[in-house]
Amino acid sequence: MGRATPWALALGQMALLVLLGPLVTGVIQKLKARLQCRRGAGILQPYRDLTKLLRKGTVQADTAGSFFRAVPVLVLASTCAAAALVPVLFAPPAAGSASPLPLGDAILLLGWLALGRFLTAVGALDAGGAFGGMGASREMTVATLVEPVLMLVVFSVSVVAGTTDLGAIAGHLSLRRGSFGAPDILALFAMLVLLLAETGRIPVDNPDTHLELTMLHEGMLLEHSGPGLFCLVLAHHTKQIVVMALVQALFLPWIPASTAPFALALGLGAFAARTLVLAIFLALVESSYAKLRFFRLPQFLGIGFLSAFLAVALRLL
Amino acid sequence: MIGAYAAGATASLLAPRSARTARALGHSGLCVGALAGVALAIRCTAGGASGTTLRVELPSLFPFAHLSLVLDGLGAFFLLVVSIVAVAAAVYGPAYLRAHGTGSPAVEVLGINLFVGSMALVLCAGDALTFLLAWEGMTLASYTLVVSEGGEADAHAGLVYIVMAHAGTALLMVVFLSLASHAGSFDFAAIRAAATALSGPERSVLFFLALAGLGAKAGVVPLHVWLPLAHPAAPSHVSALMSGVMLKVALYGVLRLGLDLLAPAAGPLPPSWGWTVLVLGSTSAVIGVLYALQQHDLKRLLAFHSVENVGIILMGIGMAMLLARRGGAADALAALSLAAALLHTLNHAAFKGLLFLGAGSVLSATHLRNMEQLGGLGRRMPWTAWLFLTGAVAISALPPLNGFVSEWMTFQALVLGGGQLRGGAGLAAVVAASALALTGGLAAACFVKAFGVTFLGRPRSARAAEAVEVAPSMRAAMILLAAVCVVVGVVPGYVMSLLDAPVVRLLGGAGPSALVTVRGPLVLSALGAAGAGTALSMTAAAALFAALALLVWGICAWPRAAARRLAPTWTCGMTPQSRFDYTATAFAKPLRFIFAALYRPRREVEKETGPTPYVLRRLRWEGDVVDLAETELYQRLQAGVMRTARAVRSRSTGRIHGYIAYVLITLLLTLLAFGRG
Amino acid sequence: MSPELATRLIDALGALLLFTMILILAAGQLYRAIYAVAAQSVLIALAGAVLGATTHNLDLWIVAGITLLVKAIALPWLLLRVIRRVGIRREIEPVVPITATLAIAGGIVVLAFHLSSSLGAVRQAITGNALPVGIALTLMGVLVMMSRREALTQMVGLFASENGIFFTAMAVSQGMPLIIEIGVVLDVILGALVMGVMVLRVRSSVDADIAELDRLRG
Repeated sequence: MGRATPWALALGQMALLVLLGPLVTGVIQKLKARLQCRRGAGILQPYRDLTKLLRKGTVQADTAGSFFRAVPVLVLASTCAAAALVPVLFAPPAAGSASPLPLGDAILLLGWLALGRFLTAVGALDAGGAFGGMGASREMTVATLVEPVLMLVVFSVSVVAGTTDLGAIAGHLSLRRGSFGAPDILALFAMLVLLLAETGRIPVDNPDTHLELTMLHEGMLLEHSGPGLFCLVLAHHTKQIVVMALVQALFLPWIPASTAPFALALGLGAFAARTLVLAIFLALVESSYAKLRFFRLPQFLGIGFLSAFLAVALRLL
Repeated sequence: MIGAYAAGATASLLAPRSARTARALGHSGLCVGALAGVALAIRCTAGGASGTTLRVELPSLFPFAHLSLVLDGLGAFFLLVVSIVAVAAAVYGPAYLRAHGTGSPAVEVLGINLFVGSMALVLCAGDALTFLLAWEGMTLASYTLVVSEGGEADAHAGLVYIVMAHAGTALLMVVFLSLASHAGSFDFAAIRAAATALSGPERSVLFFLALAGLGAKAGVVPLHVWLPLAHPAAPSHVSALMSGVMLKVALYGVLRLGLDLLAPAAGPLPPSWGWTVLVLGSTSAVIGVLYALQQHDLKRLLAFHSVENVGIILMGIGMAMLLARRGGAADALAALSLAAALLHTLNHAAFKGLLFLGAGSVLSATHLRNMEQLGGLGRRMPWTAWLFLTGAVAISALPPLNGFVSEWMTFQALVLGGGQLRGGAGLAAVVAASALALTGGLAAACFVKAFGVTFLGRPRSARAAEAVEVAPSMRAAMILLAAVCVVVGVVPGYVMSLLDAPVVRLLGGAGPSALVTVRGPLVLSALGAAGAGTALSMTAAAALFAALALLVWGICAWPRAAARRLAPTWTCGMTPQSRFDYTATAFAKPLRFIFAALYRPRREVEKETGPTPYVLRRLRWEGDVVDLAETELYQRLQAGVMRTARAVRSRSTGRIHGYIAYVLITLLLTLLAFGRG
Repeated sequence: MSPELATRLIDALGALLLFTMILILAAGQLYRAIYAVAAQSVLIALAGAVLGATTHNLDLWIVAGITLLVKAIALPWLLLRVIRRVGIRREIEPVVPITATLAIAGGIVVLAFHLSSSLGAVRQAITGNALPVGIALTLMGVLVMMSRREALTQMVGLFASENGIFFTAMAVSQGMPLIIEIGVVLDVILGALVMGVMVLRVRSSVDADIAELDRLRG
């Protein structure tokens, strides 16, 4: 494999994730609509929204400064950088054959996502007004509680794999497929709890609302418009699919270890199937549960934390 | 170098009439001294894998011991950290004191020169006596700086500080004196040789005593109560030095004693040491950041973050102690862990220095420290704001800056090391890693608050509305430290060679430049068991990020038909006011609620209603949180001391004969106890 | 069924049992806890069946069947019925905060692993990690009984505890003798009936909860 190939693959997977992100949101919305006996918008609706936003002009809050303009750009960039780190179509069979200039591992991925969240919150405060502040405050609170659990889940896998590199983990797991042990079960449950929180869905956040009492993420986007809003919305779609891909890389890693075109196509099909399963899971949960009261969240995330902790304990003790 | 500090100190005494000259002269002395320190440190760390050791014998001042200065790899690295921040502080100082100084310039300049000089002496000390003397000088010099701005609160802060510091020094003195009595000499080399003959329990007792003494200086929970009082009270560039550097000198002591002087001759360290340090580190990290979140005084908030970062460094040191000298992959991970701790020492000095200087700029422009009265400074002070944001991203351990790099290395050491250790220790290491992630998340929340409420939104007071950007020299000092943050973040591989000398000095084996940058300076790698491992190229990641940002910016800035226009923020149809902006108290409320068990929040609400309960005339809200260590530990301790003191007072008659009788009894008892031996 | 496969299945079932236990501990509403304990009983029955199939022990099959019928179907049904009849508040009122309970539960699991590693001799190859998991389940069941106010939640805790004992017994001796198992199940049924009747009666005469029984002392 040449020096450039791993980079080309990483960038190709990144582009794929960014392009497919809105589609996943569209599919989830469609599934939810069908579950609620509505027709719903087409699955391509998010793309239409995005192109509309891109064409529009910007209305900016008159108190906002240079941060407000810089934030959407940086948020989208950091989320895309995170998308380059998760294996989708291809996982190297061993760590040794990875790129000579590795782009990063799971910790960097979570770091990029955290940077995106940090900057979004900064942008929300720049406009002034209570909605942005409330959204930022709540989002940072939830993130604070989610992040350690997410790390713990990643670590529960990486203490046996001996690496936090997602490609290497997926490759390692793909080689010994079928040995889905007891710790994996617990960690997967923890991850599903976190998936709901990290993608901003019921019961943690309600993506469909603009009611000030219920919104977390949307509250921060309230003052953005036009291309800035385009960046933030696309970043949110991308983040959702990245977290889904992270679940798959850690727990359902049937990812081909070859770069032959046929293997890549197979990988794409498998990825689509697994993502669809996760999308159905999200749609089902969103349709059948109510949003939790904000201060009930620690308890909900506590399930995730304890499961992840037990997974690590089962591995190490 | 020491000469330059002394010159700076005396210069300030010679020219007391003009405050301006004294400050300029004194700070240039500081600057020259610090630059000499940088040169010396680099010379010392660059000399091969184990570094060069310099030795200077001082003229004998005491009949019973001779003083010497020895600078080895470990000391040199810490000297480098001290010197970098000291350079920035020296550049920053004069303009800051001109704008905001209230104390006597002679005291300020003398104090800061003595302070930095004695820190350098601690790091160069070649024997226990020099160490203790310089240690004491450091405490006293920083005490004068803490109280230099005058004021009741500062005096109280100084009192708490000096009591805690002296309690710590007393413990250190016990440790060093008992070591010296074993060795028959104060010299570190002799102590090192004699310490190999100590029995296991003796060694551990001495280590824990030293840890308590040094922990009081480093601000380890629960010995941290003086820190948030004393650090904000000093002038801001001194706060930067105290927070960014002085705590590190205490950590240098932990490394010097734990891994060098007291370490057993062969075999792994006692596991209880590593455990204790790891647990203390995790607790300090989480508790420090949790209390930081509820502070609304910018400098106090930063001071609590120092408790957090000392905790993170201690986690690395503790993991290194657990893994050291176990052979195989554990050795490499121990080196990685120690390198992470040392790198975080440098990083914390850089970003905490930067943040304190930023807070100082806000202070000198507005004379306000309470965030609730600030706001909207971002447009009036763009340089300070962007530089503060850089520091905030770095301290929140977010890529692509330096905080992320050292925390990434700590994560790798904890997780891969946990996989190596297995069992209870492994589980503890992985849980500590999760605590580190929690710390990072909380720090991010805290700095969104600190930055957002101070620099964004609308100004909440007239002073904040009229702030102007600070002097160029102050900006230059901040830019220097921000540059360190960016460089260490983007090309960390080149810094690894600086860490070689201290790590090899303490652990032996291969240095981090051989282990961490085994695949070239652009790639950091951590080796796990059985050939697995993680690699990361911060340079590539940062380049990708920059390229993506440019691309996205290009898409967004593409000219389009509709122009950008301004409109007021949406506030449900009312005219926006600064009172609609989210306050720091409100921002931190969800976390105050969630961690209520720790904070014990107190709130008082007074409502004055009009004719109907729905018309509010006036609403007063008051609330605060308590520091559990302060209320549960120190107030009880204080009560105990007061009780004993009262009991003693009833025995003190006030007559001179009575006191002489006590002296006589004490003398007799002492003779009886020790006379036979 | 091969012993290796059985070991893996029982380990996996152990993980699921722990997860249902977490759900019981974290449940904010009574009926969720009851569903969770029913699911746990189904898993226990499955574990019994797996072990029975591996060791060709007919008793285990019978016990698994009884467990399924009684603890997974009949008793949860009874409890849900009591809830509907009495119209108790469906929110669980914890004595100890739920997040604190979860933290204690984490400690219990670590302790259970620590204990069972010192009991190495009685651990069987075939049941893998079942011993520590069983001990942890038993203790966490007691934790549920300790930390919740309502009588019915205590019933749930008792079931969970009993499930844990069953799992422990499986780990140590491939199940207790049939007669003991039946006795235990009868005990549980009797307990559930008494508790159910008590809740119904007490509710109908005085509006009291068991946390308030301390008023009865002299």
